[in-house]
Amino acid sequence: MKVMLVDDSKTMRTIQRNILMQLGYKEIEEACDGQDALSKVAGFGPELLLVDWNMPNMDGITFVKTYRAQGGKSPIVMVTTEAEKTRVVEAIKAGVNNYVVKPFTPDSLSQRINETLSRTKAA
Amino acid sequence: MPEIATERLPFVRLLDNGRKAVLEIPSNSAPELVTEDALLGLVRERGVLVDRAVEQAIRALAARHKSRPAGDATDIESAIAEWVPPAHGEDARIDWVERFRPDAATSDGDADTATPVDHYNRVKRVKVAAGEVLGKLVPPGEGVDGRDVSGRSIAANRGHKLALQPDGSVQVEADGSIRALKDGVLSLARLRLAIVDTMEVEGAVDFSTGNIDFVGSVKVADGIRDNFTLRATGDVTVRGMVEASDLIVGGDCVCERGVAARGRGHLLVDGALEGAYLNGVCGRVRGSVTVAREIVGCELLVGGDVRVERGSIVGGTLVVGGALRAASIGTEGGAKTVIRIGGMPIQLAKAARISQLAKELATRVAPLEERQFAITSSGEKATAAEKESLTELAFEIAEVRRRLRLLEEKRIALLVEAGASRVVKVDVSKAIHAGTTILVGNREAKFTSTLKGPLTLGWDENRNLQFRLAGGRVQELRDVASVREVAA
Repeated sequence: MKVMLVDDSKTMRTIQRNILMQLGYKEIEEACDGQDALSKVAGFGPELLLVDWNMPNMDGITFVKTYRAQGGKSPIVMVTTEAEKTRVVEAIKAGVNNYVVKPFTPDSLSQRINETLSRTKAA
Repeated sequence: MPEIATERLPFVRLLDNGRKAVLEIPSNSAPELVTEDALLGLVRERGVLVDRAVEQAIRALAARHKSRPAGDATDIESAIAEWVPPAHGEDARIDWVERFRPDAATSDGDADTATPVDHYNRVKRVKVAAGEVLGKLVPPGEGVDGRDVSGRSIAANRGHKLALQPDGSVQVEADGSIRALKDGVLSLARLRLAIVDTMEVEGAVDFSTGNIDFVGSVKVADGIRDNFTLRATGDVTVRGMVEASDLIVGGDCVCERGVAARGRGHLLVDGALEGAYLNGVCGRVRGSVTVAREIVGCELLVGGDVRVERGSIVGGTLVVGGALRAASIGTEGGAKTVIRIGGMPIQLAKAARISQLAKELATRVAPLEERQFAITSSGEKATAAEKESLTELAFEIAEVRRRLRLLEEKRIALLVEAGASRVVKVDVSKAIHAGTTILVGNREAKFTSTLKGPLTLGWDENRNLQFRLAGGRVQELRDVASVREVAA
């Protein structure tokens, strides 16, 4: 399965990459902001995206809206420090499938990823 | 008779097959023939291409003629046009990425700073990884045509092609990029380009090859000279003598003519070792050791069996994880020879190293947890940066714990393996000589006289050392050797 990590923090991307590798995902692409991600999605064709909210150039929520507007259908997990309910609702409305609030543990991220994928499969 | 003054005419000479045009204006030329227009017409008539430069040259000569002093009898002669030679195309070439240049030697030292030259490491073997671009094949240049003074084109030669022959391990892409398709060592023999995973050294490993560090297998047609190192991740075969050198082998190692390390060379073999003889070798072999003649004065840790069926084990210390079979152990002269068996030395040493590693790793957890506590116990709502830090800390802690878990699993597996496969079996066809010590667990048997074979040595269910001569009954080893308990 192809997974794209969109986060401006290299450390955070590395953490997510390691967790995904441990879960058995080998094809992983990284993007450092929404713009970078948009330029890569067509070529890479991710089947799952983990997206941070606050990023320079193009933030996560704008990316999600644009990606969905362009017909992108892959499940998106928003991984962010934004924990307020209004923000969560905003993200879901924009097209996010699941939400992980930082700080997270490797276990909680794994759980959310598995949960999102099984929900998507069932749908 | 009065002298008749003969007027001469200006004229144009073409030299070197039209590579140069020279205008000559005799001193007594009729003035109407040396006007700028007349000269330009003359030059054009002669077939010379009149461009701006030629025109300027002609005008200058006309002016010079006009301004010459009266009575000046010298003719004016000057080049007015030169050819433009063709620029021939450059031959095709490979522009190597610097670190992949196959012909580049490693550092020769620095003359300014008097850096010493490491002659053992001067020869470069270019290691490449799959996917790396090694260089670019630059096609031959077309060149630029020239022209002679009349403007006729002189064709430039195209550069020579480079008929590079990449094998399946290298790919030349449409834009000329040369890409490695596998890991290995770059080999460019004439025009055959390949990435090889078996290195063949035609002669010996010496100053002509330098130390060898190779990902793959290595075959050496001759030997390995004193003080050189051969390191390979695959198998190693050495046809000649291995002298006092270091051999680090990831697979099996065959030293056809033997190893004469003389107490200075080291041997680390992850697979099995075979050789004619071993002399003064210090090292470790994870697999079995098979020697045709003798093992002399070696300090060797062997994970598997040791077979010296027609030879002797003389002097040194041999720690053997598997069975041992030899013609004789020790010498009639009483050479001090120590054999330790039944200990699974490789596994136990590895388990001990893992324990140490785990202890060191475990000390990393507490500082991480303290940092976590410092952020969460402040009582205030964590900032976005703190939340990111907490995620990083959680991951680091989880990662350390995961590695500790893996280490512990590995350590237990090693101990189980060491316990399950403990072998105490020594077969000696000729004799165990006085001066030999055999250690099994916490038992030490010192031979003070020669015990002639064929014999088999082992232990009973109570771990009492016993032996049996061929066709004879089982006897206690303490009947023929001094046996005592020692610290294991």
